[in-house]
Amino acid sequence: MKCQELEKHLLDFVYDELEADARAGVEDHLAGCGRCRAAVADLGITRRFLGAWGESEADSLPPLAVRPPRPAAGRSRSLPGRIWVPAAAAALVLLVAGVFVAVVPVSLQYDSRGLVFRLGGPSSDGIAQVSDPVLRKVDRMIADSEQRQAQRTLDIVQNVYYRLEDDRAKDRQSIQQGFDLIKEIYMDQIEKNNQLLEMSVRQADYRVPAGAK
Amino acid sequence: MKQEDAELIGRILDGDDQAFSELVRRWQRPIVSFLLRLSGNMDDAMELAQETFHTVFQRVGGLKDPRSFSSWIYKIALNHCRMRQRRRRGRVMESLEDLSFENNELKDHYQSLTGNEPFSPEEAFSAGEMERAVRAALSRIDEKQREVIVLKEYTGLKFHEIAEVLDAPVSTIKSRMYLGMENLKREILKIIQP
Repeated sequence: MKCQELEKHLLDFVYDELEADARAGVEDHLAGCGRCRAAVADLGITRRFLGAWGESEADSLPPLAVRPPRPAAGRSRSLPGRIWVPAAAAALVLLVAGVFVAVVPVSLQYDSRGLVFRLGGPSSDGIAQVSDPVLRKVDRMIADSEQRQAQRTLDIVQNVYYRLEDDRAKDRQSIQQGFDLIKEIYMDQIEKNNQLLEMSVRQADYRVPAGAK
Repeated sequence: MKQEDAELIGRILDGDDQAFSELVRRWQRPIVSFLLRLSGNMDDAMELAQETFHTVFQRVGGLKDPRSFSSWIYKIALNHCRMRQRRRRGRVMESLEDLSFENNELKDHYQSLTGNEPFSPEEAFSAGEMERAVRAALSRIDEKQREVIVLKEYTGLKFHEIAEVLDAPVSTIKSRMYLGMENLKREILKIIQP
């Protein structure tokens, strides 16, 4: 056995995965080849290093509490049971919706009121082509409801506007009153100051000697 | 061992809850031990082991050859670990990059390991430090090389079984192993002989 051939078996030899014959061949070669002996020793050193990372941590583990879903025998990639329930419910809803759409004609229109969903198919006035009296009634109820809602919205907007106007008028009045009060106080103060000033001037005038004027 | 696994799997598929618990008990330590060495973190290893057993029991019905259960379960564990590491890309598993040993204790230990004398319990004095050096060195080498080394050294799988786990030819596995052992030794020496 040559060195190149031994290199192929080196790891198998170190990890004891060689057949007896091959192992004997490697041992024969190693007996006469210092370079290959060094390579084997090198691997042995690294393995001893790796052995220093002991098993202690994994040994002292508490038991794992694993409670996985039950496997389905014979199925390679079965979905967990909890997925089937919502999936079946969603399928049922879709089926009912599909049947409803197939049996009852519906239409979607976009007009000044926005997107309008109508039973009974598309029509210019909304109910002209509706043959079923029940559907006609439903459509009228929807139209009435929309009108009532629009009126209610208008009422609310008007109320808010009037209330704001009232508030604004009250605010204006309060500000004016405050301004008048301040003005009154200010004018009183000015008048008092003028009187004091005049009195002080008179007193000063009185004290000044006649020759000094 | 393979026969026992195959029997347990058969019982699980028949709806035997006890068999499921036995299988977890049987594989808990090897799987956690493997994941610990791969991830470098005990908390991660425990969580990944939980995920591994969940996957095992979701897919055990599709296992073609129950005798190859060991390769199969390690493959699942490895995939969970890879997924987690991908999610945490950029974050070092357990940052021991700055590890340094300034005392001579580790060098003495290195000399005892490289000598002819067998590893003895008395040497456990510095085994903790040595373990840290190995952890750090493993985290520094190439991921694929690390996977092969950990599978070979800590699971007892043969090279052809590791090839199954990693979906690669045996020759590729041996090549990664050889290079990985070289790099690992170099990294360990860098740590203990800075």
